[in-house]
Amino acid sequence: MKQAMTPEEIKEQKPYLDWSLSEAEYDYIRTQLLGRLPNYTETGLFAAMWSEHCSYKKSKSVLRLFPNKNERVLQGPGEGAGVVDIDDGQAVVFKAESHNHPTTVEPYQGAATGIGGILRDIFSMGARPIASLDSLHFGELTDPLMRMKVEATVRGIGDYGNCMGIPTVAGEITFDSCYQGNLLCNAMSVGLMDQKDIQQGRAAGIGNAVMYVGAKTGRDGIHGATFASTDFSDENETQRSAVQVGDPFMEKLLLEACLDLITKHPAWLVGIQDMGAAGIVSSSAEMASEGKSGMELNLDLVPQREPHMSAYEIMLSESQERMLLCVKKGNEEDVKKIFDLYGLEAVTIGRITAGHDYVLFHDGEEVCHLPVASLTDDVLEEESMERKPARIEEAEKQSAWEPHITNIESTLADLLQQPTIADKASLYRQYDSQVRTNTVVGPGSDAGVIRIRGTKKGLAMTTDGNGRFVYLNPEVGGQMALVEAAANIIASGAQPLAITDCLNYGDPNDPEIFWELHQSVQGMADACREFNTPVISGNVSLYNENNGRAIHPTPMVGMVGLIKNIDRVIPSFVQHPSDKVYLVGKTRDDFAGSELQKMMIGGISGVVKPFDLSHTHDYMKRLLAVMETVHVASAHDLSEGGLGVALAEMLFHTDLGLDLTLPMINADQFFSESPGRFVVTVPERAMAEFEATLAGDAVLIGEVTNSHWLEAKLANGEVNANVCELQKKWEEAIPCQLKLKD
Amino acid sequence: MLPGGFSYGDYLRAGAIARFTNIMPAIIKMANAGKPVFGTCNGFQILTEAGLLPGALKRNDNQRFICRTIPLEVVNNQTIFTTQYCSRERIALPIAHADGSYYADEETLDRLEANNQVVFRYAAENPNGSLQNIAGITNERGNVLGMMPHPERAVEAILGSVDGLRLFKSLLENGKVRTEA
Repeated sequence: MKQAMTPEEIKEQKPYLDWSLSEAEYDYIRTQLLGRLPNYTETGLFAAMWSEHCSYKKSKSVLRLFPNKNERVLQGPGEGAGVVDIDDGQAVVFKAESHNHPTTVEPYQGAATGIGGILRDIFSMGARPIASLDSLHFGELTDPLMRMKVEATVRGIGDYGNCMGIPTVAGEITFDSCYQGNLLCNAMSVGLMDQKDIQQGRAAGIGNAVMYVGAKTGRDGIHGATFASTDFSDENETQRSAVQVGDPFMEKLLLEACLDLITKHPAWLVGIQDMGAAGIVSSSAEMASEGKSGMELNLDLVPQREPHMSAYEIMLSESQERMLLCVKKGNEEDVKKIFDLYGLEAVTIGRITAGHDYVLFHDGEEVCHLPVASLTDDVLEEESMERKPARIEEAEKQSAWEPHITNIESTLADLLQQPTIADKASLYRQYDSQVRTNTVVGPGSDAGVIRIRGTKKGLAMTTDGNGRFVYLNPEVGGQMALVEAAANIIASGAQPLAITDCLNYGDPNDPEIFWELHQSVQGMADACREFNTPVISGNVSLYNENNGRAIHPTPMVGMVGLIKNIDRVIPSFVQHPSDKVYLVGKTRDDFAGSELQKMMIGGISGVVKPFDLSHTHDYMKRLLAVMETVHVASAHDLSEGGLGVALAEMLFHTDLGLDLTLPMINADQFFSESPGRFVVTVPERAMAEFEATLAGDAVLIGEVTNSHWLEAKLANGEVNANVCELQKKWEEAIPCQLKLKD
Repeated sequence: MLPGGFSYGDYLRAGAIARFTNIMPAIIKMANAGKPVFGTCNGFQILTEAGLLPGALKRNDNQRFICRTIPLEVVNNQTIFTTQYCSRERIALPIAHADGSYYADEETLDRLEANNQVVFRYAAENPNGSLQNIAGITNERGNVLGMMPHPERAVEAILGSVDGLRLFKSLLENGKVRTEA
C-alpha cells in the first residue's frame, strides 16, 4: 500500500507531533541515526517505540535508583516479568502494569484488557498464572459518572479474570477527588513455574522463523502507547479507538497453547514475547535487539481482521491475545500443529537475518529499513527539570494540624464508612477468588495467600499505594508504600521476596511532578534496599492528568512473600478468647494525609514525618521470626484509620471482642496513621517468647473477650462499641453509595 | 463429571456451545444408561442446555458475578450423591457464577418437588433469584445431578470448608465411582 505521506511531506507537515514525537527527536532521527528522511511507516514506528510507554525516556534516570538484584532474583526488569527463586527448583514470576488511560476512557474494556495484558506477560515467561491482584484508585462516589466507572471497571476485571479461571485474591480500592478525571487501574499477575522453563523475549539464529500466534490484527488500539504518553483533556475524552477489546476465551486458548509449547517442546523455541503496547513493532524490535539480530517481516502474512490495513496500522495495532515467537528453522510446522489443536493461528511472518537491520515488506514493497537499535536503544533520554513544589515548602513552615477528637466512638463509626476504609466485599465478590482451589486467604485480608500444591510452601501477595502521603512528602511516602506492603506480607506470616511497581504520576514536563517522581522513587529504593526486596518488574504511567490537574503521585507496590509452612498462615482476625493483644511499633501524632484528616477537613495538608526505616525493618524481622517459632493467633497491620479501624476489622466476622487499656494513646492517636504498626494476638503460653523477641517494640494492651464489644480505655477517653453495629455500617457504606444490591 | 469454568467463554449463553461438543453424545448415552453424571456450575448449565436436566439458568438477578460461601439445605439425602448428608442438614458451599438463577415453568417446578428432584436449596438467602431457592436438582431417575454451588471447592480444611467432600464420598459409598488403587 502507498504511504499516506511522502517523507518530504512529513518533514513539512510534522504529523509526528500528534503522535508525541518531538521535532528535536525527529531531527535527531533524521540527521544522526538515519542520515535521510524517514518515511511514513518508519516515522510511526519511531513515535511508538520512542514513547514513554515503550522507552522510559523520561523516567530511565530515576528508575536506575532501584535495586533489582539479590540472591533470589533470577530475572530482573527488561523481560515480560521478573522471576524469583522460591527453592526446590521452582520460581515465582510477577509483574504489575497500569491501564489507567484506557480504563478512564472505557472502563470495562480498559480494565479487562489490562488483566489480559499482564497475564500474557506472565505466561510469555513460561509460567502459569496462579493469581491476580489489582490496585484501583477512583474519584469520589458522589459523582454518578464515577459510580458507573467503578462498576464497569470491576466488571471488566471480573469478566476477564473469571473467564480465564485465574483467581483474583487481593488488591486495594481507594477513592479521592484527585482521580476524578483520570482514574488508576493497575493490575498484577503472579505465576508459578519450574526454573528450567524460563523463557526470554529474544530472537536470534539466522534463518530462524518469526511466528505470529493468536488473534488476528485489527485497527483497535492504534497508538495506545503514545495515547498513554500524553495528558487527558476533555477534547481527547473521545479517543476510544485507542482502547482495545478483550476476548478472554481466546486468551485462555493462547495460554494453554503457549505453555504446551514451552514446557513440552522447549527445543523448538528460541524466544517468546507478548504483543503488548505498540503491538508487533515493539515485540519484534525488542526481541531482535535482545538477540542482537536482524529481522525481516512480510506484513502481508500477518493475519488480519480488517481489509486494507496499512503497514503503519498493522505494526501499531494493539489488538489483544497475540504473541510473537522466534522458532528454530524447521520446527515451524510442529509449532503450527500445537496452535492448530487450540484453533489458533500460527503463521511465519518473517525470518532472522544476518546483520542488524529491521526490514518490513508490505504489498511487495519495502516499507521500512532501519537499524534495530535505532528503535530500541538509541532513544534520546530526556533530562527533566525538577523543583520542590511550593505547597511542600509552605507546609513545612506551618504548625501541624491536630484533630482534637471529642467523640471517639462516633469518629470510629464515621471512619469505617469512608469509602477507602469501608468493606469492599460488594466489589471483590464479583471476582472469582477461589478457582483452581489453592486460595488459602482471599480478598479482604492483609494479603492474599496461595498454596503451592505438592509442597508445604505458600505465596502471600499484596498491592499497596497511598498517594496522599506521597503527595505531602514524596520521599517518606515512597518509603511508607514499601513498608505498608511488607507489613501486609509479614502479617500473613510470609517473608517478603521482591516487588513489582506501577509508578503513576502526572506530566513529568512539570518540574514539580518530576521532583515528586524522583523523590518518591528514592524513598522506595531506600526502603527496597533496607528490606532486601528488589524491584524485579513494573511499569511507569506518566501524564495522569485531566484538564491540567495531576493525580496525587501514586506509586503502587506489588509485593510477593514466601511462606515456608502453609499450615502456619496467620489470619488477620482474632481467634480465641483470652488471647493476649499486643501493639507492635510506635504510635505518633501522624495525621497529615490520614483518612481522619480527609474526613474532618475535606482535604489533606501538613508534613508527613520521617520515620526510622532500619529500626522498623528490624522489629518487623523479629515479628516474622516469632511467628515462625511460636503460635501467634492473629496479626493485622495498621493502615488507613489507624489503630481504631484495625481493631474493629480484627473483630468483624467473628463473635469475639477486645478489652484494652491504652494509657499511652489519646483519642486523636487512636486514629493516627504512623507506619509499620501491627496488632498481634498471642495465646497466653506464647507470651514469654513473644515479649522476649519483641522487647521494646511491642506493648501488651489487653485481651480477646467473648463479648463482641470493642472496649478500650484511652489516655483521655473510652470506647465501648457494639461490633455488630460497627460492622453493619462498614459493610453497608459502599453498596449504599453505589446503590448496589448484593 | 462436568466441571465449572466458562466453557467457550460462555459466549452466546453459558453452556450453549459446549452442548454441541463431540463428547456430549457419549455423556447423554451414559446418562440414559443410568450411570452417574454430575455437573457443577458451568457443568449444570451444560446439562440444562443439553436437555439432561429440566429448566434453565438465567443471569443472576443482581446482574453480577457472585463469589462467596453460602448456606445450603440438603433437601434430598436419598440420592446417590447425597447419602452421606443428613436430611435437612445445613452445609456451606462456595458459589461462583454470573448465570445461576434457576428457572423452570410452574408445571416443571411442581414435578421436581413432587419427585423429590430438588436436592439442594439456598438456605439463608437466595443469592441469584433462583425459583424456589433451587441450588441443585437431579433428573427424574436420580442419576444426573446439576448444581450451581461448588462442592469440589470445599474438600480441604485449609481452603475453608470440607462440606463438599461428602458428596464425593456418597458416590464412593454407593459404589458409583471407584478410587484408584
